[in-house]
Formats: sequence, C-alpha cells, structure tokens
Amino acid sequence: MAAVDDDTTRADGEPEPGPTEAELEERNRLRRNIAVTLSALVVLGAGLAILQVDASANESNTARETTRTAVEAMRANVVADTVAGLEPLLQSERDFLAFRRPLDAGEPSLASAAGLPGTGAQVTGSLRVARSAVPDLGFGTLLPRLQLEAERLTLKQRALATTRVTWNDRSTQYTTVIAVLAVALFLVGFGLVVRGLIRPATYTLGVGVGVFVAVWAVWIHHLPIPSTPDTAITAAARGAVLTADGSYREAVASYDKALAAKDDYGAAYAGRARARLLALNPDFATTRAVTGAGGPAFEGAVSDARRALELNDRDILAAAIVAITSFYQGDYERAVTAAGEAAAINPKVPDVWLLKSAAQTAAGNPAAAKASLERAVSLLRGTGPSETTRLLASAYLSYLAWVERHVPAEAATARELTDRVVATETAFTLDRTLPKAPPARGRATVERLRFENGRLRLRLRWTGLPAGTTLSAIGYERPLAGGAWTQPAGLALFATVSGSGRRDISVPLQRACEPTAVRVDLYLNGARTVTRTGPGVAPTC
Amino acid sequence: VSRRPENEVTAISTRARWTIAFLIGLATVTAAGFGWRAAQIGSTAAYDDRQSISETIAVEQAAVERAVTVASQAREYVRYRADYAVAAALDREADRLAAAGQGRLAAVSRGEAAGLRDGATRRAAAAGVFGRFTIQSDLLKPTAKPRPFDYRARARELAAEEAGTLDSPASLDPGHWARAAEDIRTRVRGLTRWALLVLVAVLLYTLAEVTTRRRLGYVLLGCGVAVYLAGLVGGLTTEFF
Repeated sequence: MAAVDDDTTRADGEPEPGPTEAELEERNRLRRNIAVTLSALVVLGAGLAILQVDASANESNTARETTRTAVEAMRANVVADTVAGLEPLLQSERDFLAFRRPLDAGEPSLASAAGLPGTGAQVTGSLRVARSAVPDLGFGTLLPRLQLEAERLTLKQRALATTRVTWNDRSTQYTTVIAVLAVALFLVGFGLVVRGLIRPATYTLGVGVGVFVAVWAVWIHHLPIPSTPDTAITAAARGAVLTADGSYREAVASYDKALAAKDDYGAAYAGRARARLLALNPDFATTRAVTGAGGPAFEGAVSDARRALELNDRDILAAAIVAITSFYQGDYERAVTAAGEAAAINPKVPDVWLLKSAAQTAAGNPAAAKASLERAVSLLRGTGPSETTRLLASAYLSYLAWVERHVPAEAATARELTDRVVATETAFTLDRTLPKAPPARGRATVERLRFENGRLRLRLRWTGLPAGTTLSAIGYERPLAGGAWTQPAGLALFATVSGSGRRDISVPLQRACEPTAVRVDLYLNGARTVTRTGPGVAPTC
Repeated sequence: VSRRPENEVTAISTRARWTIAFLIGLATVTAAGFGWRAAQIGSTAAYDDRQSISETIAVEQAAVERAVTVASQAREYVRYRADYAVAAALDREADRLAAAGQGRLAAVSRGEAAGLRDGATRRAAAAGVFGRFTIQSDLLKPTAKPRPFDYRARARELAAEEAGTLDSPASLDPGHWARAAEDIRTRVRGLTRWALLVLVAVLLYTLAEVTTRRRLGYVLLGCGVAVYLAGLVGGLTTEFF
C-alpha cells in the first residue's frame, strides 16, 4: 500500500477504490513520458547554452577587436592629420623665401646698391632656384596612403561595432530563451508531483513551451549577423579619400565596388551620395554653388542618401544629404524634417541647424527659422573667428540666396536673415559690439566690380566715415545665368575704418563653373548700405 | 479489479536501476565540471582581452609619438633647407659682386651666407633633426651643401631607439594576447559541446530507466555509457587541461 502514490480517501473515511490496471498503465506511461521529456529539455538547455556561449564569445572577441581597431584608427587619423598639416607649413616656407634677402624683389639689395645690371631678373631666377631647393620630403605621396589607412580603419571600426552589438543582442536573446526553457522544465517537472487531471495539463503545457523554445532558438540562430568584407571597407575608404581629393567620379566608381561587395553597406551609400552630389556640383564644396540639381544623376544621389538612412538611421551624413538634396529640389518641408532628424542624431552640429533654418525660411516659417539660426549661433559661442565659422556663414548666406531667388514670397525674410547674419559675423570677427545704426555721415562704394581672367576685381572706396565704423563686404557669384547667387567663403572682408580710403581687391577664383555675374553687398556698422553687381563671363556650366 | 504500484512496470533489474541513477548523477556532475572549467578559463580570456587592448594602446601611442617627432623634425629640416637656399642665393650674389669688383660687398654677402648656414645647422641640431655628436664637424664649420634627411630612415631609427629601452612598447605584442583570448574561447566552446554530449547520455539513461522492454533498456544503458565515456574522454583530453 505504501508504494501506491495515488491512493485517495473518501469523505466518509473509507478509502477510494484503487486504480484499475488500465489506469495504472496510463499513469505509468505518462510518468515515463515526463521523465524522458525532462531529459530532452535538459539536453535542449545544454544546446541553448552552447549557442549562448558561442554568441557571448563572439561578442567578447569582437568587442576587443573593435576597441583595438578604434585605437589604431585614432593613431592613423592623428598621423594623417600631422602629415597633412606639414604640407601648408612646407609651402609657407617656400612662399616666405620671396621676403628674404637677397630674394625679395621689392627691397634694395647689395647687388642693386652696387649698380649691377639685371638685378630684377637675377632675383627672380634665384627665387626659383631657392624654391626648388626646399624639398617636399616625399610627403605628397605618403599622405594619400595615410589618409586611406585612416579612413579604412575608421570604417572597419564602425563595421566591427555593428557586428559586436548584434552578437551582444544575440547572446541576450539566447539567455532569454533559456529563462523561458526553465518555465518549461518547471511545468513538466510539476507533472510528477501532482495527480489527477492537472498532471497531463501541466505536462502538455510544459511540452508546448519547450517546443516553442526550440522553434524560437532555431529562428534566432538563423538571423543574420552583419559583417562587412574587407574589400567593401577598402573600396569605401578609397572612395572617401578620392572625394576629399576632389576626384568625385573616381570616388563614385570606388563606392560602386564597395556596394558590389556588400549591397547593404550604409556607409558606402552615404559616401556615394556625397560623391554623386559633388560630381554634379563640382564647386559645391568651396562655394556651395548648386549647378546640377535635377536629372537622373541627382536622383541617384538622393536615393543613395535615403537608402543609407534606411540602413542606418543614426547616419548624420546621410540625413544631412537628404536635407540638402530636398532643399535644392524645392521640397522644403522634407528638408526641414530631414534636417531635424540630423539634428536629433547630433544636435551640436551648427551646419544642420543653419540648413534647417534656411529650409524653414523657404517653407514660410520665419519664427522657426530664426529659432534654428539662434540655436546655430549659440553653438558657436565661446569660439573665435576661424575658417570654420566663415564657412558656416557662407553656407547659410548661400542657402538664403537660393531662397531669395527661388521662393520670391519669402525673399524679404531671407534678406532680413542675411543682414542679421552679416551683422553677427561682423561683430564676431571684429570682436566688438556694433553701433545700433549706420554712421550718420560718410559713405562707402564699390567700383570697377567685374570677373575677368579668372579673378574677381573691385575697388572699395570709403569717404568721410567716422572713426570706428565697421565695414563689411560680402561677395557673391552667380554660376548659372539667371540662377541663384552663392556666397563663397573666401569672398568676405571685415574691417574697422575711418575717414576716407580705398582698397583695390583682386582675388583669384578657380571654378569649374565660372561666375556669369558677381555681386558685392556693403555693410556699415552691420547695416546694408550698398549692393553692386558686375559682369562675369559667358556661362561655362 | 487488481491493484499494483505504478513503479513496478520497469523492465530492467533493480540493481540496474540503481546503477542508472548513479550514472545519471555522475553525468550531471561531469557536465557541471565541464561548465565550471569553461567559466574558469573564460575569465582568463577576459584578462587576455584587457592585456591586448592595453598593449595596443601603448604600441599605437608610441607610433603617434614617433610620427609627431618625425613631422616636427621634418618641419625643422625644411627650415634648414630654406636657410641653405637663401645662403646659396647670397653666395651667388657674392660671386656677382666679386666679379664686378665689389670685393667688400661680396665679403658681406658671403659672411651673411656663412652665418645663415651656421645658425641653420645649430637650430636643426637643437631641434633633433641631426644628432649633435654626429655632426660635430658641421657645428665647427657647416658644409656648403645641406645634409640629407630621410623621414623613413628617421622613423626606423626612432623605433629602434624605443626597442632598446626596458619598458619598450616595441617589445609588446597585443596580437599575441588577442590570439590567446581566442584560443581560450575556442576551448570554452569545445567544453560546452563535450558537456552537451555528456548530457545526451543522461537522456539515454532515462530512456533505459523507463523503457518497458528489458533488452532495449540494457542497449540504451550501454549506449548511454558509451556516449558518456566519449564525452568524458573527449572533454578531458582536448579542452579541459
């Protein structure tokens, strides 16, 4: 009797009749099944543990390699930047020779003092010899290799980071599966200690959960782990270096190779979008001149940027390109949205806020445009005037010039923001607070403004200005006849002047699309006083 | 209606059942032992990872320092060459003045050229472009022609100098630690697979325990023992130690 575990007692105290032979057989069969199922679940758990250990080991290995590659990338970038920084130093050493005796043609020399003939020609020849004697030490050929290595390691580090994150997720998923398996073990095991109808019910439920766990694990196991082949990384790195070098079409070809090796490589799509955009608008990098907005090639750049954003919604370059291309296609609402997405990825990039401000201006939302402009300006507080700040201002002025040309209804707002930015930049560059109003007396003018023989020429003249007057001259060029003006970073002058004077200005402009017209806006104490336009050349684009 | 205890349906003998219970326990403990060993050596892999990273940082830091040093010396060397170029121009001016009978003015130009070379050489030596002890004759009287400079050779020299110090990053090998970590993780993977095999034996033992056919029970028991031994021997001989 003691061995019978299913004895029960009736309410009147009499024992229930024992189970029949058939009932016992059924119960024993179920208990055997439970025992076997428990063992099978334990083996399944061990299999899941193997998958979890594999994922965890891969995550650890990839994490280590990601960190090591990040360090190597940092080294490569520092070395490349150091060597890149040598180039202007070496060039300045050569340039400075022209100011050293006896190579300075403008200063008297012992030879000229002694009355030797042909001194000027001798100085020119000596200067040429002296410049050729200052070597470049081979850095010209070294630098591209260093830049390629730096770019390759940076891209490799990003690819490894993506792989690492996926392995980490995979490991966590297997841990979750194992936790659910514990529920199955509990339910099946519970069937051994309960009696009656509950036993088959918990057993069946436990088996169901076990089957679910097995299917879930198989599904997880078949999910892909992202990996980027070295050929794709190297080709994308070469594309980035070629883009930086201005070889846009070769860069596009290199990105094509990267995408042939990995057709869902987000960084390659973003890079190709940029290269395509710049190939269509070869002056964009220096002047923000858009001369090729439209057509299938431009659409290709747009679709590349959108694809890059689909693949990686944290790619700020892709988001910014979507914003820029949308802006120049006239889809200002989309430009505002994309710029907002870029700002959400990294809110500390003033370029994005300035682009958003311009798009908001075009979309007819001046209040938001001013807020975005303020946000950009606030990011620059605490910095000093630099090439970077000038580039930012020139980009924004070019955007606003586009709005002024293509959205006449918002031209007044664009002009207002333009004047505000010039006043802000003038105060920022000259490090002083501007007077509230233009000077009560005196004037400034622009004369002989024209573009010819590859140079912008003009004469700046001012008369009768009170002491401490700030004079700002902002130059624009028009690459397409009848198109929008654009404001190159190099065409700006900020000075404090007084009384009368003049300055003859001649600036070389190397452009793929030469200016068909040029323009200079003059500001006194931050207020626009004069706008002059001058002739350019016949359209080259 | 007859009554019978539920657990009287087992086909194999009671002694065999006790043996199976013991074997199940043994297999479970073996699998746990493999898991313990895997966790133990896994922590060593984490240590190797840290070593690999810290040595990578040291090696790359040294590479950056060498690059910055070579770049700085290259910058100074170009100044040196520019001074020599100006000195050559002064010498040419002196030649013309001497040819025109202006000997005193020629001497001024030559003196200026010599001073320029002297100053350039001393500045380059002070900046480390040239070793002081290797150009002592130049410091007494600079040569008319500039000394050469090869950044590649200089980078190699700096690396060799670093390699000779006791705490040299050049002697570090972060790749060795990385490979060691990966080897350990390969062992961990192996141990978990052997543990799985041992647990398959548990499944076979259980089937042997519950089967109603005596012969099948002993066959399953034998298979379980064979699988267990394979797992045990495999794990101990390949990955455990």
